[in-house]
Amino acid sequence: MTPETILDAETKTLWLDMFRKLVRIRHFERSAFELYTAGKLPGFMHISIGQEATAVGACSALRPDDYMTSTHRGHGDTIAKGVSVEGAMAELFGRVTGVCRAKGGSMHIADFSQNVLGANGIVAAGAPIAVGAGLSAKKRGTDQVVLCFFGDGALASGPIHESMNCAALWKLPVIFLRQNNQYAESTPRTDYQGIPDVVEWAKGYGISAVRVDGNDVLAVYRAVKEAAARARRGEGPSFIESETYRWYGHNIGDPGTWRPKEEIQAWKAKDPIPRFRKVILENGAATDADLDAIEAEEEARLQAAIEAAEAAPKPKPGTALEDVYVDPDLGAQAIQGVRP
Amino acid sequence: MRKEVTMPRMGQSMDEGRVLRWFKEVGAEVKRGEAIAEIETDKAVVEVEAFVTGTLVEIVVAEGELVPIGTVIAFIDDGRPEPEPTPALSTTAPPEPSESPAPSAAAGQEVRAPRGERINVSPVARRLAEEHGIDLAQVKGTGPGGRIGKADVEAYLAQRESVPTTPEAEGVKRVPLSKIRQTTAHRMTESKATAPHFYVSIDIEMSRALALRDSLKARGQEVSINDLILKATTLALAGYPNLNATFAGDELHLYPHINLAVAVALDEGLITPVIHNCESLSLAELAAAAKEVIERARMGRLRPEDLDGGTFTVSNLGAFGVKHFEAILNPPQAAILAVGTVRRVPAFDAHDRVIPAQLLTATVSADHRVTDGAEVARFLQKLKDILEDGFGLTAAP
Amino acid sequence: MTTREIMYREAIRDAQREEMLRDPTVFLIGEDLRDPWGGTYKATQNLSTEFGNERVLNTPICEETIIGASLGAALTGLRPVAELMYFDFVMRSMDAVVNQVAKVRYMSGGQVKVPLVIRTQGGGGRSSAAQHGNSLEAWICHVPGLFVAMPSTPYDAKGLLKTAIRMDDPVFFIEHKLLYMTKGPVPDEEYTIPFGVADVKRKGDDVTIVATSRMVLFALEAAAELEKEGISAEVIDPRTLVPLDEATILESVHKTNRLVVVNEGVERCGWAAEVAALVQKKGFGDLDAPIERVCTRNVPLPFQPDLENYVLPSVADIVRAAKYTLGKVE
Repeated sequence: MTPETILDAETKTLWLDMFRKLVRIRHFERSAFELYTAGKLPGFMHISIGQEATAVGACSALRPDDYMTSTHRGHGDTIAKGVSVEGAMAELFGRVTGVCRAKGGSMHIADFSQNVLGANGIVAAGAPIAVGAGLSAKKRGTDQVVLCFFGDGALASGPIHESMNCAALWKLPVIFLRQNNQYAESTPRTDYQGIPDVVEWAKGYGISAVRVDGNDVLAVYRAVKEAAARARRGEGPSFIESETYRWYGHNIGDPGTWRPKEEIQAWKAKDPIPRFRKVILENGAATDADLDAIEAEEEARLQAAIEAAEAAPKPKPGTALEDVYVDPDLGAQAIQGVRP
Repeated sequence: MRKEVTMPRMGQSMDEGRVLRWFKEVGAEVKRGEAIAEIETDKAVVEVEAFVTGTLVEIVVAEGELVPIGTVIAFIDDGRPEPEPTPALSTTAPPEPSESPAPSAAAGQEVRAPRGERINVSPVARRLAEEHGIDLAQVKGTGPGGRIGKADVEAYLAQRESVPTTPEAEGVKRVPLSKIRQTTAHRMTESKATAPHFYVSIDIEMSRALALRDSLKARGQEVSINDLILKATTLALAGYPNLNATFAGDELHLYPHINLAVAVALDEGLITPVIHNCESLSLAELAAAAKEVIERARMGRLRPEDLDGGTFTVSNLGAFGVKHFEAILNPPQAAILAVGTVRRVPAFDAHDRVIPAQLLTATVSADHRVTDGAEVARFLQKLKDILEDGFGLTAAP
Repeated sequence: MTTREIMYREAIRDAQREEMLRDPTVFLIGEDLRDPWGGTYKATQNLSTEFGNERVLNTPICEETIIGASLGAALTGLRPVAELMYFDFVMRSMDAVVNQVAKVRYMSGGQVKVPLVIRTQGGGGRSSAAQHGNSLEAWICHVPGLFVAMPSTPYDAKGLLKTAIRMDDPVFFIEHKLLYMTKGPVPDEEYTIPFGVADVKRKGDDVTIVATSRMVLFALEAAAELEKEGISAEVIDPRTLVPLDEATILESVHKTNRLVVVNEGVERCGWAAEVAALVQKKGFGDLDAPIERVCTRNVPLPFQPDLENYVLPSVADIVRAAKYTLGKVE
């Protein structure tokens, strides 16, 4: 592509929106990291810095009414699909304004208004849920698709296999997207995966499968767009192997320094954000100033989100007994023995 | 398997019953529901039915004996094998209280009574007792392990309500119980509630014993009638170890020494100091030991060992002119001797001529779990022989 | 009201059929549900013929995905009724049941409803051995976020299942393999039964017997035996274990002062212990005897019938336990 390439307005808007989301997620996770290490956030946390292009590229290829399931490393995925940084940040702080009312935390961010069916603390557990959502879309006769994110380590786990078999069998509109960040916690793929090429493996289920550069937001976008179109046509599930890298360790507290320094440096050199900035500039979709402005806006928005979250009230302890059941009377009877 | 037949409770107010007649002899086959004995309650004469089919293998309570309800009166063998020790995994089957200490019965039901004694009582029974202001120490438990159940409290209530209530007269004086009275109240209640008492009396002609006392006095040796009774009791007990004993669950404890407890009435209550190793004491030594311990009791200077280790108790109300009385067992002892006054009465000699006699009535209360009527009767016969003969009372031990 | 005698499995089938007719979002999902097979215990017989294979969805053998997919469908507008063929197989889906179905509403701060029924059947008595006869209701009751139903009669089974399918919370619905062929009266008219309301199956004054599922039938037999000896037993079927109708149990114990809890799960850490704990806490002052439990012994279920009968609760066990609370054990 050359700078003279004339982009249509729709593409321009899409690219700038993707850029904005990449920056938004990066800011969010850097801040989360800092706040966590400053002792302001409870629990534990998995950071996906370095993997933003996969989350943003994939989710940008979906319609708002499409579904998405994510993993324990789900900040990027859920924000990319539409969860607000305000709701997510307040959730990390454990405040009543959190998207899950402080009941879920980092690993369980869910926003059903955005058809985010949930991040998930259990590896591979999102896949059966994605199959069910796909089954539901098919039964209800909509053309919604379901994007099922999972990590490279989940490939070794049973539910992925059950789910891919069922999705292929029932020709469900499910996109299985493996975020291959090279390590299952600390285990490299050579230690948990017998077949060298998972694309071939996925094809064994009768599923269309491709590999993409997971740090190239447009490559991911195109692959998911194509898979979604096929799904909407009733042609069943797809599998996408998205090769990427997490800059940090498994969770905050693990510096990740057990990996070769050169490897980390090599992947940092492939940082998806400057890479996409370059593409935008080369294609004349925006100027440096435009992009700087976006970064500044996102930074300001996040700062406000952090301040709001910190200022928001903590939940009253008694609210721990809420949100278990829909039925208030039976719920109270189940939890406290008697009806109110 | 041996099954107990107990003195049934035939009414709310019934505490004890007398076996009037056994319809079956030991060895007889009995059928469930068949009448095996006739008992007399406070209100009527009723039949006791066998509740299992089998063989009547033992009669525990003889005809004529009066025993508290719940007392085992006989055993029937139902022909089934005795159960094997419960395997570790048989937790589903509830334990049977008659064969092994029932874990269910023992579990958590004991509560601390205000006095600091543990009372085995069910929660609902305790609640009822509290609601009606009943002292649980007064209620006899008939459940497993003697647990007081709701029915026991209800029975107690019914009984209490059937007694005319004390008029709430003005000027009732409330006197706190002395320590001794508290102990007596508790120990006597426990004794009556747990040990099946029975009573056997005999008249003893005391002329020779009194003559012996007088002649010893003439020689400067102070010996009381009570000392003679203590000595005679020691000698008689030597031949009847079951009366110098304690009931201990599935066995009897027979004591090697005869340690006589002597009931002493004090202003603040009854106390029973002990004279140890009576079998090794001469009459004079025994008299001296008795005098010493009774003195210490009256002075309030009893030593801990003076109250420990009694194996048999003698209670003498003769000084008050009492003719005859029955004592409550002094736990854990199996028997107690109650003697009244020596009274001058007309009697017949061998030629049917009226002559003066000096009679003393001696009554033994005994624990039916340890001994029975015939044995106590033989013991009393022996006591009578010793005292009426007089010979041997002064012999060296 | 006209009634007819039907089998328990027909009651289950009819409840599903009526709810499928009533609500097009209801569908069945599980292994071997379709005709002509019609379910391993025939609880879905004729339904695929009537509603088609889309609404009676046969799945591969993949319990975790059956439940996880049911959850995905429940979160996106449908009302799945999932069947897990044996309670023993529920372990294969435990992550989906415990970590996903039960908790998604809570973890999301109450954003979603989970209108999902998981049906399964457990219990021994048929020489099914250790991997096809488990009674694991205690495991399920232990999980916050689920309601648990365990009916003993065709009437209760139908009424409770219809209620369960209409509920917006996940329900774990436990049937018993030896109840499917039992018969009982069921009205022709439509009815539902609320959760959390026990049914007193027999009135009595001397001892309360709380029993679940097939053990209710055992308890009623035991009560008839006890009556011959002049002992009047009250038999309570809680029908739903979560929520539990504590009031009915406590009122009964207030009257009888004695309690026997009968449950086919193994005794240790079992459901009976939960009821015992409840009554000792809230009904302590009503007890006249220690609470008795009659449960399966703490061993795996053996294959051979005599061995199996030895470890499962029996009518005689219940009679003995009841008499024990009355101090009347021979």
